[in-house]
Amino acid sequence: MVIGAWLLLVAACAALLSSRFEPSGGLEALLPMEHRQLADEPLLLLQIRDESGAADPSELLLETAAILAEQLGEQRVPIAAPAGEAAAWFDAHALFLVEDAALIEIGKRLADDAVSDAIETLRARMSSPLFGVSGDEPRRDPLGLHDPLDDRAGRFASTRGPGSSSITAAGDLLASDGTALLVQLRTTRARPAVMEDVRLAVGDRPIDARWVGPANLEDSANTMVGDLGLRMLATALAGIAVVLASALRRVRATLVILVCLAGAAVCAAVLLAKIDAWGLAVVILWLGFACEGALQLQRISARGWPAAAVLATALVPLWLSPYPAWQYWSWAWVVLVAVAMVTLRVVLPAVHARVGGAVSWEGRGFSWRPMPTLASVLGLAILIAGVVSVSSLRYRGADRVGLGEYGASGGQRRLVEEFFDPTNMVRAHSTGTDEATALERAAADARVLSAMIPTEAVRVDSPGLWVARAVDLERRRTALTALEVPARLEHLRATLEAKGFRPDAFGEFLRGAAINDGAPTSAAMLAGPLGPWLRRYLVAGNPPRFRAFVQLAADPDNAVPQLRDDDGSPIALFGPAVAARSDRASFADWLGIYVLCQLWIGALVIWLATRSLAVALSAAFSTLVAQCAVLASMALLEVPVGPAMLPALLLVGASATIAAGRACRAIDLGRPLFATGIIVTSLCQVAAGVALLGSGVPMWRGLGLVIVLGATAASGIGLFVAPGVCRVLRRVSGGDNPEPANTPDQSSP
Amino acid sequence: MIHRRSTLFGLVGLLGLAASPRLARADELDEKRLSNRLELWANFAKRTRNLVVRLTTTRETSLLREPLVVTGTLLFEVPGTLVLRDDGLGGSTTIIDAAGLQIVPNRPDAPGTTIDRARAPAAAWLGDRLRAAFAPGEGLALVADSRTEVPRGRQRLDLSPPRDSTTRKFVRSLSLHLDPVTGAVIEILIAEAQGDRMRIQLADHRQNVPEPDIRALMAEVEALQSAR
Repeated sequence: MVIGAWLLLVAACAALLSSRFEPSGGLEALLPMEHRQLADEPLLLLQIRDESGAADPSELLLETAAILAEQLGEQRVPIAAPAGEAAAWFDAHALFLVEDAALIEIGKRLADDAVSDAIETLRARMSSPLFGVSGDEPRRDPLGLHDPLDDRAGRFASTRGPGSSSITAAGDLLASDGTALLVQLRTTRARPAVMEDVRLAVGDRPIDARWVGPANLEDSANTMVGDLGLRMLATALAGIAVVLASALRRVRATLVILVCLAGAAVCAAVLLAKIDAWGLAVVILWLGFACEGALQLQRISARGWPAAAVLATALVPLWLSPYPAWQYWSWAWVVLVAVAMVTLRVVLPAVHARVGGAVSWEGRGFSWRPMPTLASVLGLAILIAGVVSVSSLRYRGADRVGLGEYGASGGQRRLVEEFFDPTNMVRAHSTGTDEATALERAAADARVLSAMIPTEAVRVDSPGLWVARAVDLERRRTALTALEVPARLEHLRATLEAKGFRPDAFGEFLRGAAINDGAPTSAAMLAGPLGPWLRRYLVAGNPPRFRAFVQLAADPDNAVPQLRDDDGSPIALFGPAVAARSDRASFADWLGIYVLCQLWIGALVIWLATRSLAVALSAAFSTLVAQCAVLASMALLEVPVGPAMLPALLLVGASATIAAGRACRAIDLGRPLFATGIIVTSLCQVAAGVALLGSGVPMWRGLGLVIVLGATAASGIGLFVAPGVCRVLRRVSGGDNPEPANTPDQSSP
Repeated sequence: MIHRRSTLFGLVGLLGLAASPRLARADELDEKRLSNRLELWANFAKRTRNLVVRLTTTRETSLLREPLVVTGTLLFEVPGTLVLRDDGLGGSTTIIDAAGLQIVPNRPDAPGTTIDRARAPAAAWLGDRLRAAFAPGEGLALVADSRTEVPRGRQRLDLSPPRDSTTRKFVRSLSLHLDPVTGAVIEILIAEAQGDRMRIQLADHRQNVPEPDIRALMAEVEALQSAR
């Protein structure tokens, strides 16, 4: 009846699975929500095909981008201020936007003698063949008044494209060789539907359009889960089958366990409904760790629940963590273990009763003796090695998840090499009662943000930098009046005439410097031609907010900048790099907290099961030693530590707790220890680790390696260290005697 | 009965067959003309250890009412130092060498300009082509990183930046006119993308002048540089 009910349940779950289950990428699942990339702002890269032989690739791209902008309408936003409008804004307002110190220099350059010298020098340089290609723009600025704006430190970097790119007239970014164009979209529509529109716009031009940045990586992770999910599950089950078949040497027993595990996996998949890249890894590990429930090993308590409880609570400490995916798995893992244990402890015995194949360790155990000296020396040595190695471990944050070949598209590489690395892009928000005050606020905040250049940030992209603060405007007007700009410009015009120049050719400069176009206020910007560009920065709502994009310096060892605005309030930064850098600062402390929580929970479970403080403490000690062994191995192998590794570390700890509890209990009860069984348990865990390791995907490879190393170490430490430490503790305390050897139901398989 | 479709395919095939050798031959002719032109150019250039030439520079630009005409001297010294020095204090000296690109006004109190090759790739491209135009060699450096065109019937070699290069935003073409007998460069025409044109006419070529003479001329340039 049990078998029938279970088969019905599995069949129902399998039927549901096909309609409910869907894989997802979940690449940012370890990042807090507020630090994730903006999902509704995908980046589109248009690239000329290599074989196209286009005479003028940049022209072709610009033409396509214009059609695309028309096709997508409001869904396409300029990623940078359109070059013409930006130049016009700066030409008209440069004298308001430069720093006070720069204004003194500008005053000197406007002096009569300096103007004459500048024009003579200009004429002298014009005889050089390099004059027209040197990058100078004499029409816009014959006197070099804009030099203070063109600071290399990057305060006005938003006027230039990031990386080696340049800004097009429409506000897209063009690669330096003119064969790729980066377009920013802002849409909540599904990406495939948007891509259809893009393809329509591209038509039969020799141009490839593809998503790049976070959207591309998320899609790649999604594809990866779909491609590799079943293969990895099959690999893990195959590995477990090999281990069980080799250890048990019974085909029926192995098959029955595998069928039960596969059935449990189907039921678990329905419960989870949606699985991402991290979830897939956890499920694979679950298959390996659940096996121990099927092996009917030495029980720690009469009813045999402590091992299941320790395993189920292994990830509970992660509920305290800031990683949403691990918070979810802290309780989802409990459900998974419960599903496995119900299957393996209720269904499996029923199947055994019906078809045979029950696992028996009868005659395979042996008497085990504690080795206090070896245990103490080994335990302390590993602890010291672990503590020493912790400082040399590299940290890898949740912002850098390796997808291997799935994340290595040509477009993605091009984005990072020629435009910018989205991982280092973070955001700051400036809020106001309306759009104008929010932009005014952004102007104040942007000046604080730009102070981070060049040590902590390489680029600040904020419209606030293009706006003068109200408090500065009057002061600047007074200073400009003192400079007598109109009279100076009249002298310049006369000098140009006298030296044979056409003053009208410098009209752009003469009009801008006359400061007749008003001040660069937030209201002027919102109402002016740059208004459409501001959509990229404006977060509509109540109250409205303006965003600033800050490209942090690539060094992940930098701390998160601590910024305060003019009122002394902190300016918060959001983005994957901020989350990772904040996490790095406190990761070691929190790792300690998670481990302590696990030690406490594990020790409590063992104590409740055995009522022996010495056994509980030795199990906790073994757990810590196993985790130190893993950390030391990671340091030796130069495997980085980070949030991605936490479940593996905690599962290794749980494995050590269980092995320690079993070994101590077997000795206390004077029963034979099924060491082979404990090793088989570890090998099943190793098989799951190998499935991850063999995936070839860096984000899973690290987890797999830690499990392979840790599971091997855990059983050894459980067998060799825990009983010895238990003996030492009892000697020291002089009490806590073991229970009599004839306690019933302790050796039942 | 004549099958129209078969006939059509047959005709297209025949035309293709007839055209393909012609296309191949056109390519061969272009290659041959280029190699002839480079051979003529190399006749003169390969003997150069140093060179002193009188020059007349004419810039046609919308900034000025009249074209700017300046006379001066071109100096070249192996392995690759090229100096274009205007006569008089109103002009400037352009120095192009392996170390960089500089425009130094002849007036002692005026500041010079050093052009960053990384920030101004068009200047780097043009500077490299100008240096290569006078340096000894087979012409590989001259035509490197460029599209070439050799107009029929005239002793001219046109160089343009590659299609996918940002240099095209600044330079349309650089034309070298060669002396039909000696192969010496007698005129350089630079067409800038924004419409300016610069013509450098070269005359009175003195190849491999005595070492003390070239040293004296270069010393003047070095003095000008060190005065900044």
